Amino acid sequence: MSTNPNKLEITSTELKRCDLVTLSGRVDSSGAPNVEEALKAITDAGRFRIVLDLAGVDFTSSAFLRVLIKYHKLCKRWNRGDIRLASLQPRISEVLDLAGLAPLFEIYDDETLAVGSF
Amino acid sequence: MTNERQQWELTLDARQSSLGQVADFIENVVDELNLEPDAAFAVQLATDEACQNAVEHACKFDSNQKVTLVCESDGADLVVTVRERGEPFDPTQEAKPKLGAALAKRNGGGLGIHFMRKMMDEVRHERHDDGTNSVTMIKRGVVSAADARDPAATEDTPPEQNCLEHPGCEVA
Repeated sequence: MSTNPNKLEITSTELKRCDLVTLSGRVDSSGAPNVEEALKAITDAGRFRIVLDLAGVDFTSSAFLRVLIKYHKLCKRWNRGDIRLASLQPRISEVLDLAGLAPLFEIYDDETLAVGSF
Repeated sequence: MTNERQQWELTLDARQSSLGQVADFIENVVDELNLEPDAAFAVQLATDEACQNAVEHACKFDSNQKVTLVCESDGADLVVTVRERGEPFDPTQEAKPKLGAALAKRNGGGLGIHFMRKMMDEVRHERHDDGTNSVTMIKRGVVSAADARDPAATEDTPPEQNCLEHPGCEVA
């Protein structure tokens, strides 16, 4: 688990079907690089099926969304996988809508459903 | 409604790691003003975006440069100003985010400005004679709306503003 002073906690777990990355706290401009680091570690290891559990995320900004887009594209290359989102709080869902990104992701009500979708 | 003028100021180095200070600073401001949650979120998001732009695009992550963040309240509106001495920004040249595009055509560019404009009632970019650039963002009526949530407020206080119901917050 990695923690940064800006109240963001990131936990990555390798499961049988996919990798589960649980974020908690604020994913703002200062925290987005930490999320990228976690996703890069997974994709560098050759794994491209990722569930992002956002149940504990109460704030996000465009910096996170740029990381999300980048790694979603990377994972979807050659149909080898993708990033699926779980447990979005209403405001996070609204930010995704405002950015026109919601249609580009599979979004699940909870992480169990998201993991099971792979 | 209070007419008390209040001001808060933060100066930070133009580096990515400094941006964490912005979140704490704005959280303190919205708490002190007792903003309702939607307005607080809107201000936090717009300010995060403006400071990221200042650090990254204007100052190019040059830690020798400074970014100044000022919040001012006149008892009704909240005005947030971000100022730096970096590269000037022409908002008319900014690429708009491709909101309805397929994933292959998306890279997240333009989302910062997009969020600033959706979250705040007014966004103004200026280049000053002293060589500084500023972006001024105004959220109107949120401080007075905060007072309206006070049980001690009168029945004539204005209704709460919900940024998501505000026309500027509609998805394009």
